[in-house]
Amino acid sequence: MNLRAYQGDTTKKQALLARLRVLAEQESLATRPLFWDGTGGSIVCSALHGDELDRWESELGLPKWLALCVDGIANWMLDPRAGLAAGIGLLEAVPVGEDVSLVGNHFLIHLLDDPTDGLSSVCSHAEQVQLIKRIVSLHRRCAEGGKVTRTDWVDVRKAATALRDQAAPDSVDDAVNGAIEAATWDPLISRTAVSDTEYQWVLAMSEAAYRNSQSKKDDPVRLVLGQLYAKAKAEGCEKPIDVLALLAQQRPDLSKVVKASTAFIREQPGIAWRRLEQLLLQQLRGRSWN
Amino acid sequence: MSKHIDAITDATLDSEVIEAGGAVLVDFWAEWCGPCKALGPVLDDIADDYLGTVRICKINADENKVSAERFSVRGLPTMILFVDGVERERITGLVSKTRLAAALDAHTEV
Repeated sequence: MNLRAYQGDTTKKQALLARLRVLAEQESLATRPLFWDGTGGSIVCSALHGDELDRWESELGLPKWLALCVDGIANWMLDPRAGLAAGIGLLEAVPVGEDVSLVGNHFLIHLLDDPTDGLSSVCSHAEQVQLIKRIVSLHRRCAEGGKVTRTDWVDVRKAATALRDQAAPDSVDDAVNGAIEAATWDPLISRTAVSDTEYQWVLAMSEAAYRNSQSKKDDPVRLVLGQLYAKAKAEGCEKPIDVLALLAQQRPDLSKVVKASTAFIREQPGIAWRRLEQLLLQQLRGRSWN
Repeated sequence: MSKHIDAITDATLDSEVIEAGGAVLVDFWAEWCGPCKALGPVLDDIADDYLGTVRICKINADENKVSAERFSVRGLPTMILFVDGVERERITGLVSKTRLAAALDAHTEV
């Protein structure tokens, strides 16, 4: 099906954006994805005044995967106001009259294999990179109008879940493989493919950034924490041992490192979501996918 | 919520799931649970994809404590796959569609 964003009507787009911004200003938009209570709800459902996603395509000329991304980013950004603004911003970025259906495939290719932003940049095994190439080739074929069968997708999905099952739980590989496996659907057939991959990509990139920072400075801290714990225990401490409090008293220099590390971990998902928002905006505004 | 997802309660779980036969995925959720809400669109998508193969049901764990206790639900969201009334798979937390589909395929593919 060929879509035409906002049915080629600039006034329709402007009226929609204006209405959504008023609702955001009145704090009448929900961040819960695809939520509608009959009178109000999420960005997408407020745009439709209902929750029938078929009308997202027929009345607004937008692909369903984009609906999930709009409400998804509103839900996942830590600051709800920023999240809602980001969701509305995605709708603003769609050029009137364009069919942005295939942007979903192009965007997944970017998240998988871009030298800077792609999962391939944080892979540790050749097997992961090879699988990414396989998935990218399917998305590329979809984007070029080529034939990709259900079996093609099932095969890469099986390979991806098998690869993830091999990774140690809560490792960077586990997070990266989780994002790779989420991208094994054609967004035009599976509407959650892009939003699911976005969420997993944020987890993977945050985890990779954190582990990368930790590998250099974590060991001395862990060593000292272990020593402080052992010493407190040897001295007969009967209360639960708060090693971080002991660290702050006895090694304020290392305590600062731990606090900085904690702050670093907390800010990674926010950084990743903002990066992701920028990447999708670029893709939606761009013309390279035509 | 997808029209292909059924809301069930303590009173209807047996007839809708245990005695109904076939594959039924039951999602235990709650209003206050953020990951449960985020999982909603994924379950909607799954419900459409697996129509005729796996029935998807949702049960509010706060309002249906008997079922939550009966199936030892300790965290939300918890999804339990029943095949012919027997628990075959349990998935907790927010998972991707791929993970969910893999679990369903493992118990429904011929």
